[in-house]
Amino acid sequence: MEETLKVLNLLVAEGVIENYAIGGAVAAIYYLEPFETSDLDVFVQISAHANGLALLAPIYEFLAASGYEPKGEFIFIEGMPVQFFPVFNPLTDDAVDQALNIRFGSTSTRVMTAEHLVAIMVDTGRPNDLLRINWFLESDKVDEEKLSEILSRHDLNDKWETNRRRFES
Amino acid sequence: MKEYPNVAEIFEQKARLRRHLASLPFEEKIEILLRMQERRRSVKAAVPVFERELDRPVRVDMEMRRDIDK
Repeated sequence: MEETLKVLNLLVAEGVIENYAIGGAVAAIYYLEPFETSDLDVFVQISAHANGLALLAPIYEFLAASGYEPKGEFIFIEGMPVQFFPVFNPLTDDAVDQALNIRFGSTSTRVMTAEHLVAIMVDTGRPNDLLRINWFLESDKVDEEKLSEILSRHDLNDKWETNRRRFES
Repeated sequence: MKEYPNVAEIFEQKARLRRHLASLPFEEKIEILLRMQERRRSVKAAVPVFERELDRPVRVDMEMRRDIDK
């Protein structure tokens, strides 16, 4: 994993992406107990103007030139299946901007805050997301005031209230 | 009236384990995740993960089956 993170940092250093943050299940594991997931979700800010998957083309080209092969929706970087997502709305953009700088071994990396992860899961609203929101709320890792501010700023209060009974035990 | 055991302590133990796992360093949690993935791959490929542990019961079972077949 550490070698994978070094490659992500290289993408920033080489100007292929502006910035990144780990999201999804691996970011959740940073805060919670480990649970199984197949890949590393990486949200990236890119300056290029393009739409959809074309936006990710420079990343894939750079990585392919470095010998990393795409397989389905993933690209394997140092043995770890990685899925890149361009930031796709103000919430994910905000989540990358405000991600925590942490260290993994001797390598620095960025992981989304617990509050942003919960807000993204509220927004996405898949059954798995609602379950994980419950895990987050049971832990002491979520600052409720911060979460409330993020939900308001990104117009997610209605979604929160609609689904509240599903993830509040 | 039938009496049932109190399992509150079992749930509390599970909660304690979850809290302990959550408090581990990120690097250790990722190690655990990688082991889970490896185990899943082994199960999907029908390869026993703990070959030594599985070896004996499987053999005993096969010997019993041979005896039955006789």
